[in-house]
Amino acid sequence: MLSYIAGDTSAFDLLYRRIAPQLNAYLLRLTRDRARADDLLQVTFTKLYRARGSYLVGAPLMPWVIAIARRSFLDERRSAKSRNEDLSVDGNLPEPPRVDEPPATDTSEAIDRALDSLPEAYREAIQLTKVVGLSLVEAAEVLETTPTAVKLRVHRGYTMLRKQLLHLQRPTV
Amino acid sequence: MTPNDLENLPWPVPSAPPPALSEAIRHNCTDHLTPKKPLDLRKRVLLSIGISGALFAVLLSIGWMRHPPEEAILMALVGAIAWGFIQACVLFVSHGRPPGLRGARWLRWMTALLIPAIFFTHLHVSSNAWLSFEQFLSVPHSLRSTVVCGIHAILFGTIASIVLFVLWRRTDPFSPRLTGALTGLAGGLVGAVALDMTCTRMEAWHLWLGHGVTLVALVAGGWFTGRKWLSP
Repeated sequence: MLSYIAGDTSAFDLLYRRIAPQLNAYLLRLTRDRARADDLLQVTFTKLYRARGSYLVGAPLMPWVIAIARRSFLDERRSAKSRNEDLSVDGNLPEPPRVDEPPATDTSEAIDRALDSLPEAYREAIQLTKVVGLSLVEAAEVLETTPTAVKLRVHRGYTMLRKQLLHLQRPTV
Repeated sequence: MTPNDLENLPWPVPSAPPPALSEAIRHNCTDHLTPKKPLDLRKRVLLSIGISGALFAVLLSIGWMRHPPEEAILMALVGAIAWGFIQACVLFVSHGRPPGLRGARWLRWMTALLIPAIFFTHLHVSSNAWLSFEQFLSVPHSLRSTVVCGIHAILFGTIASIVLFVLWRRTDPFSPRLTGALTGLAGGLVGAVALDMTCTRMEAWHLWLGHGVTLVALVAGGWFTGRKWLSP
């Protein structure tokens, strides 16, 4: 990051390779929409570019970027809500279309689907700690809560995930 | 399947974004890339304290030129140093470590709420007349002078807060509202304490409304603007 701030273009490539996959996965999980996730990834990197002169040395980079991405997502969701973009005629959020998915072929795919079915708070906590690889303290900073609350969300998410996975495994047995 | 089994599950491996998107982002972030020399944390904190101190000194000297202190100048200076120390502590607690490592959120919340409460207590203790609100309103010019004091305190505090906001702009994506409230508090202290040292009226309602409320207003203002100014 320091080399990038100093104007080294190749440092950006290295930085991008390190953080973009996790960021992409995080945004995809938040939005559950490829196009929105792509837009937000672009917005996040634009903000990173603009704020590179304000980066305080010593700030943990991955949580810093994830926090920018999360804030961009929340801003985008808020402005979409105020434009009533996602609302149906009666003013409610429309139910996502039910798709009869074929049974998961491997464990990773099953986990992916089970994660998607969790409530947002649990899903985000598990995504940040297990997939992105943040510590509990870092995840707590990103989610603006306490490490204990994150631990609790992960634990509750695990309990729900276990049920989901057992449910998903049953048809294949 | 237990939670321990879940720990060892093959979690989805993050995949790279599509190449076309990566290329677009690369263009955005590397074209016209100019080197930057950001101020480090310690310099920013010291600069914040230095600028606040300088602003405070200017406000104090202007105030004392208009109303020369007749007595208790030493007490006023001791008070100014004490509040300057408190302001430095606020900056160290809120801005002294990199964002993401700023530690207990409750401590920062307590700072944002307790310091204004302590300031109100200080105003209450230092006042020499406690009238009922009706009596206060019936005193000639009391409301007018309170409004004038309030405007001055807001103006001075806003100037100090804006300087601090500019200095810390786009630095905190984690808790910009809370950091904004604490920045407003630090700036508000400059205005409120400078006015407190120069104002000659010592009636309790005047001090609370003319000097104290501005601090609360600037904390609230910092909370609302923090997200826009301090978030990258």
